[in-house]
Amino acid sequence: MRWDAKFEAVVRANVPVLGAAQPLEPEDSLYDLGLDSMGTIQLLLELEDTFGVTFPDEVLKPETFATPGALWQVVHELDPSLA
Amino acid sequence: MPPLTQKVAALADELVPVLAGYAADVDREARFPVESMNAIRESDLMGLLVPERYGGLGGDLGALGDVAGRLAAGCLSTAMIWTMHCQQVDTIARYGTPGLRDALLPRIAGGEVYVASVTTEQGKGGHLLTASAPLVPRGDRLAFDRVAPVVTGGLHADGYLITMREHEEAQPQRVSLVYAERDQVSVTQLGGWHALGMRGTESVPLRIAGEVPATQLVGEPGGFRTAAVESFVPAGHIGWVACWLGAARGAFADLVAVLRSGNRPATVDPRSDLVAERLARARMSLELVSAYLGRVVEDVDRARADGTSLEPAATQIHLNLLKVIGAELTYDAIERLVTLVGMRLGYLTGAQVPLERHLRDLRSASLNYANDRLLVATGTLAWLDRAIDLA
Repeated sequence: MRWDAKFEAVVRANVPVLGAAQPLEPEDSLYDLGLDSMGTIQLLLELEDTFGVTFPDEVLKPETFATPGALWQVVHELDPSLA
Repeated sequence: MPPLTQKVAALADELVPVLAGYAADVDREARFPVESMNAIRESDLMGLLVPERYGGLGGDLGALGDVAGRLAAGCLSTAMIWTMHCQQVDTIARYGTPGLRDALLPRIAGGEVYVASVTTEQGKGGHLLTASAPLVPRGDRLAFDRVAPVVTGGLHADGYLITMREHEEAQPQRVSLVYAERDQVSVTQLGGWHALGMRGTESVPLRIAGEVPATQLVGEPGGFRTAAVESFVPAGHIGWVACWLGAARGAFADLVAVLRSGNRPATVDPRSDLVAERLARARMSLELVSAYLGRVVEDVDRARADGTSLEPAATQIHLNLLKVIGAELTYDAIERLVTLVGMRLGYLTGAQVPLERHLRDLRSASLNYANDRLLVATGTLAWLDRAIDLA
């Protein structure tokens, strides 16, 4: 399942290590791409603002932010109307 | 008190006079407390966190905290060295390969091996979860060559637990942890330890280079973060705070003994409200640290026994704040006692109670993994804990 282009833009903006020409794959480790705890908060807030959703407490755990695929799954579940 | 904790408390209590006997010397000469550490090696306490099946005492972090606090009342530098050794042991016991555990843990339990921690590196200011110098694979071995600006007891270690970058192409946050025996490395001392306090920790800068079998990797390659969350950081924060609290509490006890004796300083008037208020506030600081330490230890030991992760934001917040609270309030307590007793008892060496040494030692607590870093991390995590789960 691919994702909304806005989603990828927000993720890229928050993983400084990923080069513009590098692809972002669902199973990539966001942690290895430079996402730290402060970056996680930024990413969370930007996704909530961009998609008008609120992440409930139970999904605020490391697994959610481990990969773009896992993160997109959560966003998509919060708003199934997204691509 | 659980039976094991009672037993090791008795072992610790026997050692306290030995540690106290050398504490002034060790501090004055800024030397590693060889005699005190030898006494600890001869007790079973080097293996407190070694599981029983490897010949250790199988203690939990509650036992660690209790013993650390007792030893610290004798000599804070010695207690800190021992506590950090136990922190390394906990991580090896939980994340070492079966081969490493079988070969090393019984020797640790037998008092043969003091394991020093090597996590500091130039340019990263003590940040635990990044590394620069890489591990270089050579067949089934891993080679490394690294400089560490601060290594507690590094010249007297029998083994080292070292953070390294996973390999030459890895990102800085891909940190591996590797164990090296003293005879597997060359160790070069790059400077001295010229510090205000904790002088007996002899935390000198070292260059460590060598090659070890890949089976001496502790935890997954690049995966130190997991061991840090579940073992290294909780054991560290609990152990450190227990040490600081034990030293401050010991100082308070010694001071009250002096005030009750014929040697009470004339400047301390037993009928003075000011004196009473100062004693009360110093005591208050210790009570708060003790209460918070006890709560966090209970939660962490229960989680570890249940196999529950310490990863959740609330747990991380508690563990981070434990360190900040312990560092600030134990120093606060000593500060207040020095103000109370005045210069002669509070500021001169050779006083009946070594308050000036305690003041110097406890000033290190905020700097021992900077409180600033922990507060920023905690504030960040606070965004993720909407339930506001207090300890």
